[in-house]
Amino acid sequence: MNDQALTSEQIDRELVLRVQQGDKSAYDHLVRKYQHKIIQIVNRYVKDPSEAQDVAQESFIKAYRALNNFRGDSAFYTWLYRIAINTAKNYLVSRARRHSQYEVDVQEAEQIGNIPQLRSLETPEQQLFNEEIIAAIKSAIDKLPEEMRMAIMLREFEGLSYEEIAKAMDCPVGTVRSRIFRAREAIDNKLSPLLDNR
Amino acid sequence: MQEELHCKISQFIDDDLAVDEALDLLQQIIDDPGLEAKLYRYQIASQALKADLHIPPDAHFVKRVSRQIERENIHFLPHKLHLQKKSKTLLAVAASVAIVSVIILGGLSQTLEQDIPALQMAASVDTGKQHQNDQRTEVSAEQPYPIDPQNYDYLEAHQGILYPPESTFARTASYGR
Repeated sequence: MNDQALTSEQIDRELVLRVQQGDKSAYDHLVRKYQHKIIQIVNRYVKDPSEAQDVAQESFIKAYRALNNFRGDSAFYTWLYRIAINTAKNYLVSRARRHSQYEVDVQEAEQIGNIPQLRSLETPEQQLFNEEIIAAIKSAIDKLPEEMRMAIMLREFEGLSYEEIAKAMDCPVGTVRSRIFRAREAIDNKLSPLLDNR
Repeated sequence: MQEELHCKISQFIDDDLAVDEALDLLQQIIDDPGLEAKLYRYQIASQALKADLHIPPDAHFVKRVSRQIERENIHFLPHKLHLQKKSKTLLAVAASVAIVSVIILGGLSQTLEQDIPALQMAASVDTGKQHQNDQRTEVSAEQPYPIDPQNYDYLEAHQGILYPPESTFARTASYGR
């Protein structure tokens, strides 16, 4: 486990402790931190985007209710991830009972490579919006200076830590930090008008 | 200043912030909706790059969860109590150990107090005995055990050793072995 993962776990542990001591607002931080990842995971099972949001919300609520039993034996995110998957599976099962048909194959959903099927369940408006987001991000990346593009791609696609990127690019960690931030700002400048107009 | 905060948000997404800095940043995000929107957009870009398709959460997702949690009638006090119980248990164990130590030490000192005179007595008895033995030795050396002169003749005849009339009883006793 690298230092970054350890820091993230420490932050989560501190926030969990605060929630356990009665500070409900600390849980907002955890939701804010993991909402994107959890919705992404739930999306693999529940292909309707609006239903996926509801299931993700339910996952966070279930996690909150069970938080008193969380003793930190595993990382908070790992624990939350399991809750989200179980909630999504249970949702599919209960929906199948309601509709007398199992619309989604759970095993199939467990495989990540089923993204085209996801698109088919989006409304045309949602589909267009998502395509616009992806296009804006790709366009912004294409226009980045080489060193910024490389830094952000090594981080996002390869999942390298700042230290690893610094070694790969033969530059100080501070420079990597700055390049990634600049790349994100450039992407954000393209993304912001899209999201604000929604 | 604002740019510095945005840079920190970027670091936060990559888990590059120290715990205190991250918690401080999260607090500032609560107070500043602009910062929250920035984090939200950075996260969308990050996830979209990883998955090639990302369905962004509803902009009010955090608020919706937060509102529902506010309604939750869950209290985490038992956890706090658990900690208190744990500390109480530790205190109880520490107190027990202290009491047992005091009892043992008390018993030990009492035993020592009792034993010291006994030891002293034993020592003095030993010294007395030694003294007596010494005295006896001196006495026996000075006044050899009186043996009948007829016995000397007998012993000399059987061992070929000359027993002067001054020989001690011990010497005589070893003859039988």
